[in-house]
Amino acid sequence: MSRQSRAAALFTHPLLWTALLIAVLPFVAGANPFAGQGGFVDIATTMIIFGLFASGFNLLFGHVGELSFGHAMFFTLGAYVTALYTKGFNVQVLGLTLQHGAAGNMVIALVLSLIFALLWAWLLARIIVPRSSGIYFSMITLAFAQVIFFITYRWNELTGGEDGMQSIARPQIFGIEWMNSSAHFYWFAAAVVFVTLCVLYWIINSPFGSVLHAIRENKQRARFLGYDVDKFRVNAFVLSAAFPAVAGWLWTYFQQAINPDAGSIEYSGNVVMMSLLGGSQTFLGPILGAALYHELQNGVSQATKYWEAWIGVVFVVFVLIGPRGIMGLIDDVRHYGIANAVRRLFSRRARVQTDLVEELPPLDEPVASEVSR
Amino acid sequence: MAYIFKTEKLTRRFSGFTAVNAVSLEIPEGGVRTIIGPNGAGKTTFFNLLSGLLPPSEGRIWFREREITALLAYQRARLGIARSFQITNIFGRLTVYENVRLAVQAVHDGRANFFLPERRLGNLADKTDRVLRDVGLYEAREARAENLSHGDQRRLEIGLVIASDPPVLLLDEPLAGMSPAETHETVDLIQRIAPGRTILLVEHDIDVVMAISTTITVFQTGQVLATGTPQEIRANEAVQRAYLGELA
Amino acid sequence: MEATTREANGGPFRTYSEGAAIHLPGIDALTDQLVNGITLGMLYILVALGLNIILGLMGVINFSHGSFFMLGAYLTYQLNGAFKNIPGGFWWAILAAAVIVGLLGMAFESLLIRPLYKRIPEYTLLLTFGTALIFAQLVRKWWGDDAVRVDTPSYIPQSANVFGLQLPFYKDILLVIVTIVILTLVWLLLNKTNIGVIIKAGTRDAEMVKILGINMPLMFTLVFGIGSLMAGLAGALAAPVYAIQPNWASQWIVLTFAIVIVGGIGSFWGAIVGGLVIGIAQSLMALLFPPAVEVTAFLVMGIILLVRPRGLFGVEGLFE
Repeated sequence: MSRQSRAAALFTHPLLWTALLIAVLPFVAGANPFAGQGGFVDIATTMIIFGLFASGFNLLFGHVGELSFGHAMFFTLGAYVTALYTKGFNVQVLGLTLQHGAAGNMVIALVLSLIFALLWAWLLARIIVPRSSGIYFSMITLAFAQVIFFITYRWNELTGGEDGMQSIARPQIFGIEWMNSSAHFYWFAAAVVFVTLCVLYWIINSPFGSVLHAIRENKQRARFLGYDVDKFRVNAFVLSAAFPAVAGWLWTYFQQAINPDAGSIEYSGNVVMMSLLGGSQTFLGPILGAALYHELQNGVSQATKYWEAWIGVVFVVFVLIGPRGIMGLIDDVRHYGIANAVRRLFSRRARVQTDLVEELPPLDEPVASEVSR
Repeated sequence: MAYIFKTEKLTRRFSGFTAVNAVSLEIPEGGVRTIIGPNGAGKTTFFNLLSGLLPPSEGRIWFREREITALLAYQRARLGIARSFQITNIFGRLTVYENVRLAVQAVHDGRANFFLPERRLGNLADKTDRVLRDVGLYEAREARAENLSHGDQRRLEIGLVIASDPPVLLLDEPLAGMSPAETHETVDLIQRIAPGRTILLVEHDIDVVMAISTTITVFQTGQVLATGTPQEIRANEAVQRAYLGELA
Repeated sequence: MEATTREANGGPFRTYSEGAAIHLPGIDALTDQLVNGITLGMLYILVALGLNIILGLMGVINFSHGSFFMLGAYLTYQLNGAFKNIPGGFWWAILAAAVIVGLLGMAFESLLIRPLYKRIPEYTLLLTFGTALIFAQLVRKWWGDDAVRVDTPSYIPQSANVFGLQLPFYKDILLVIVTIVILTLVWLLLNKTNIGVIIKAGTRDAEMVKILGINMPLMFTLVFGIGSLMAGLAGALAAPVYAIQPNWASQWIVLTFAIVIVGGIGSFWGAIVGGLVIGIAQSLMALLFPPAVEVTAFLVMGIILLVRPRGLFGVEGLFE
């Protein structure tokens, strides 16, 4: 590779842009330059945590082509496990007493969050993945997410039910309450998010990741090359649950409180929207999408209490005319120039070409055509 | 003689229609073994049964002394049964290079650690480039597969099939829709890769079939009508009545 | 789910008492809950069948189906007030609400769903998720966050005695009869009329039907309208039974998904059996262990998936 192209590769490297975005966000998130108002650190923190959540979801959506409509279950699992570990609990289950005192080690909290989320993901994947794909898969993930939601919602004794849990302490570092400042917490979260995203980037660009792309493009072909497609789909599902769990862990510390909303359909839907908004087939897309989503939410919610309707409108518009999201648009502008890129937005053919999954006939189809000819 | 495939009363029915009807066949190892027959004779269904795309309704299949009736498609692919499809079947939105690399890399599935950097998985890149040169697509390696011409896409698919160095190739109408020039190149390609392998071919271009086949098996209404060398098939009256007659 | 609207006591699960202890039910309570489950099941069947018809015939998954159900209830509330001086106004309100929702469904299909037919089905799920957000906010804006109620007219008796059981007349008797009538009509429409035959043929082989000169887009709009009308009708019929809230849409849609998965995608009988199974399972759980009522549907779904991946009446390989 020549020096010039190496420099270009560095300049367009998604991780570089991720780092830049994370560095800039606290100064621009929710900012209003006209009123001389700077960024809000707390909005920026929300953005990067959801950026991580959405990126993990997108490992499945953008890279395997499977739409999970229940990824908030892993987010809420990570969040609740952290909250319970931190605050302690004492409950009776079938005559057994389960109890645990308050504790503050954030690494143990993280490990526990991951263990629970991954175990649940693995169990679900074993049930769901070999049995379903396409919209059937979306419906089933959505329904299973409700199991976790209603456990957090109804098990008052353990989770505090509808009100959830409050006053959860942020972790201390060497006994110092460094993280209690919003700005400090942001940089802590930023470091965690960036490192975790590097892991995700490595997964996507490994030979494993390219098999996922192959499965997204053409499951049948992948099978006939000798790939155990379902095994890869199960592994991708479990891996993609890890990132929301880490995000949930951060979320509990950030909010210092947790309630069942974290596992609701709305949260699952919102990360779909973030991926779609930013561009689901790119690495940077979901992170950018999470930032844009919260910027939008912040702006609109100040204007109307029915702001969710406007989120819905953006959803509809993006599905109808721009399923490749902002990053897709940037790509098109680079390839075709502004005028043609805009024209492509309204071209149905271009949209069909860029859809997530190939439209191959189902497995039995070749036979049917043979019969009819 | 050693066989590569053996079937016993292999049958596949579709809601009342029997596409392959109790076919018992031994396909010897090596050479180009072509299956011909009128449309609807069950050739593609037979391929689908051998490669594991469809489970048989009845009957059993052996591959080199090993029964594979219950094996799934990917397991058969790992045994070295590679196939192409009637309708071009490639990874459309990946580059030509990525397409072939995925096929080369498949050999490592289950053995090597898949999270290692590519260079640790043997010399993937070298092997990929070699396959690309074999099928004459080295120059087009950076192009997206969906943007290739039809003929190049068909050749890419053959590239995917040979990338893992399989002992058996099942090629389902590899020449369909090709221009004469493309046909010529592809026939050359098939003859070049044939030595040391068994090639099962379903093809309609009768001139090509006669020119390159070691043996020909004729299917009719889901059953084997005849098997023999091209000369024998040409001379077979039943075949002429059923099939060649309508073409000639 | 907004914190302010998340009250679950007004939704489909209003009928159980709070309390976490497991207690063994008496035979009276058991009968009561069984009847309750059947009633709930009737509403589930109507909603799920509407969704399943659209899904089975068109391959379109409509997340806003729950919103149509909710709109049916709110429109009944609105129209019942407006029609209160008309004889039989209550029934006209239910009918009008259902028809309005059906027409809305047709408009919805031709404006928003139609551009997505050539594309992957996931996009319809995403689009209709977006519109569900919009419908929920519109309902909040027009009818407020607080629950509203519809009273049955005074000429409908409060309760009646059936086989020695004293049952609420509207909820446990009329509702069941009306549902059975509607299901019969839908079955006849799908199986005994020309429209039904054309729709079924068209969804299997759209090209062929087009060659025959039948306007397939119109047929699709019609199917979507019928499915939506059923959701609206279910909402209208449910309006006098439960307190109506803006969170109905999201509560019901996920349940409906579970019912469809239990019964089998695209199956008429699947929707019926699935609706009854889930309705009865929930009601029995209300007796046995009330906090687990909401989870019941999804646990049943999980078990069914393990045993029969395509649901009780499902067909292999449909819509994947």
